[in-house]
Amino acid sequence: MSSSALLDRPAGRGHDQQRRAAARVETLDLTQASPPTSADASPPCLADARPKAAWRPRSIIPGFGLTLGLTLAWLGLIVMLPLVALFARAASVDPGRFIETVTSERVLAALQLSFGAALAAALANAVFGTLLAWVLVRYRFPGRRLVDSLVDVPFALPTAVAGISLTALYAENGWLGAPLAELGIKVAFTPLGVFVALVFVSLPFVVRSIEPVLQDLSPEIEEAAACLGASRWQTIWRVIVPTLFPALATGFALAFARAVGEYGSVIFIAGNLPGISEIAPLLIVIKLEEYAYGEATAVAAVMLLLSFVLLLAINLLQRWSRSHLERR
Amino acid sequence: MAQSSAIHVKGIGKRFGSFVALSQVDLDIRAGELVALLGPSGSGKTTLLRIIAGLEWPDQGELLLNSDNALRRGVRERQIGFVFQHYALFRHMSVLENVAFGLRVMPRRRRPGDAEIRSRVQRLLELVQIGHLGDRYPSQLSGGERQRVALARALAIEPAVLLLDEPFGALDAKVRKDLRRWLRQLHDRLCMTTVFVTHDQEEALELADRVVVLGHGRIEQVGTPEEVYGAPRNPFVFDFLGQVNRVRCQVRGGRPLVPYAHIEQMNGDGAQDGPGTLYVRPHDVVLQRDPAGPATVRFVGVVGPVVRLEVEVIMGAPVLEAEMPHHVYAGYRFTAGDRVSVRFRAATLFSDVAGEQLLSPADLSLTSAAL
Repeated sequence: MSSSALLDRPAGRGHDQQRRAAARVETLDLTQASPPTSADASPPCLADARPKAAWRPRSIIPGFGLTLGLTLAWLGLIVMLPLVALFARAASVDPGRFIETVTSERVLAALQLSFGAALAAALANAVFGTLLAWVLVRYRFPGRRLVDSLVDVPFALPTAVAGISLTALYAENGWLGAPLAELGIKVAFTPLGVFVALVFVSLPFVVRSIEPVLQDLSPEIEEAAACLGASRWQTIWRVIVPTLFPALATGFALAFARAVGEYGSVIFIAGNLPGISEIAPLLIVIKLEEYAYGEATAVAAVMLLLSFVLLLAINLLQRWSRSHLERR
Repeated sequence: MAQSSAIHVKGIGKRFGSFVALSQVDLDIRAGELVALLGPSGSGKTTLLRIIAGLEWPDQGELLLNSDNALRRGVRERQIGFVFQHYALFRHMSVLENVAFGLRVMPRRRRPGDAEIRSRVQRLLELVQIGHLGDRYPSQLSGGERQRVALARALAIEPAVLLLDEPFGALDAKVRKDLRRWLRQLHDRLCMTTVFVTHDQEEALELADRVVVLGHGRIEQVGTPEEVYGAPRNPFVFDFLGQVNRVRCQVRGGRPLVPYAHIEQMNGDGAQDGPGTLYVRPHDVVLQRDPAGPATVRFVGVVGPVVRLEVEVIMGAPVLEAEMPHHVYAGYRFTAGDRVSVRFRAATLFSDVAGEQLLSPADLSLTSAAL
């Protein structure tokens, strides 16, 4: 009885269940076969060893309750409370007003630009960040460590500084802006400028997520693929990319999250023309400066929801890729 | 000559920087043969295997696979089945897809249909006795099962030659023994030319038709297990294969001066006068109780298939190891401190070559521990 309760913890994977069921039968048989005296003596000892809650794993590492409590309290205070406050404030806005605000042309344009540019930037970084990580991990060349540390610069640089230098560079009289202008491409003060700034700030996320996985990827895997007759291209697409995919999705999600929330670098290069190059976070600030707190929270709540949905989707994709990639 | 051999290696040399991995290696492997490349680490055995596979390119020499100049071809065109030491399975693919990989990446005109691939893969999985594991992922398998998957995957492309790099290196002793026997049976069934690399002499001697002993980038000896174990051609092979007593001595008139032991049979083709070394297998050391004998028993170990004894020769000579079957030991019942006489049933004499570095005693004990 007590022993079966011990075995009744949730089984992890499907195929394990059968094995466990078999083990359970064996254990029960054993207890039946054992003399009644020892069976009588065992319950108190087993009761002591039983975990307090069914979901709680037995562990020799102490402090589970304390650390979990602290973690939850911290998370609640730092993350959940502001979010709740935001939604509480948004809920106090008149629903008609709320709908009217978030469906206004200016807000829709700003949201579209923010999310569109962030997705584009994350995608661009997924490609070039992977390439960069590949070069950094696979090859040894002079200056590799310098390049490696350069990747972190967007992390450390104040975003306003980045914005100003990018603007100077891409303005029509800048080093890059002038030749591009001759080709008819305008970067600064257009949505393209927003994209460039977002690419800059979100680059490290992809590189740093992929690097450790690439380091673990042994060259033997590629050699095995080559021995089996796969071309370089087939090796990359069928072996390397699928292996990297979960890490790539993580990097993509982080880069996207960072890009959606980016403010400092974008406002300098974007020019902030309403409906054209005005991003949603800036719109929130503008609403706040106009003392339109309700409208500001409405936009914020929509941004939060959209971000949440997108991140959730990326997470699900990642989980799916971990378990089902072979069916592609 | 080259026509009849599946793998023909001639004058192959390879350097990594200043390290000479292989120098002037010649080797012929017949079709259907099971050959072991045996040597200590750094002997170049894996490099040779990788050159045959096309994963490494030699600095000089030539390589023919089935009479075809293989150095003109890349690894993809050589049709080689290669099993990696750490399996190198694709962890995002099921066992089935791992094995099917080589078929799926074939050019479209040669690629079998999906149903054909599935049935071929299933047959291969049955062949390596893991037919029920097709839907598992590599992370859900034991080491032995992974090794079988790696083998099935290599066999899927119907390779001309099967190469295995330390195939049992990462497995525990029990699984290793089972797999070894099974691989031998599989080879006898498929009759595929197979070359495997190992540093485990027991593995090489038990499994292979012929053993290639490598040391310092050179081939030291090639022969059947009996030949390389029974008649090692030089001190290196003697030291590396099996347990051996090394007795330093002076050579005079082609005979060693070993005053404390009687030598029944002398092998070795005429050592020069001067310093030499006598190699005696422990099972060739015969002891007899003798109160006036020149040696004292220091240790008796009765655990295991044979009784192991350590004998110290009184005249400052080395400690000898002797082995005898239990039934022989039963007639003597030696204990530590007994005085004995020593006889060498067979011994091999080599002159000490100036500059020739023998294995240190530490290496010796390591190699004997493997047996």
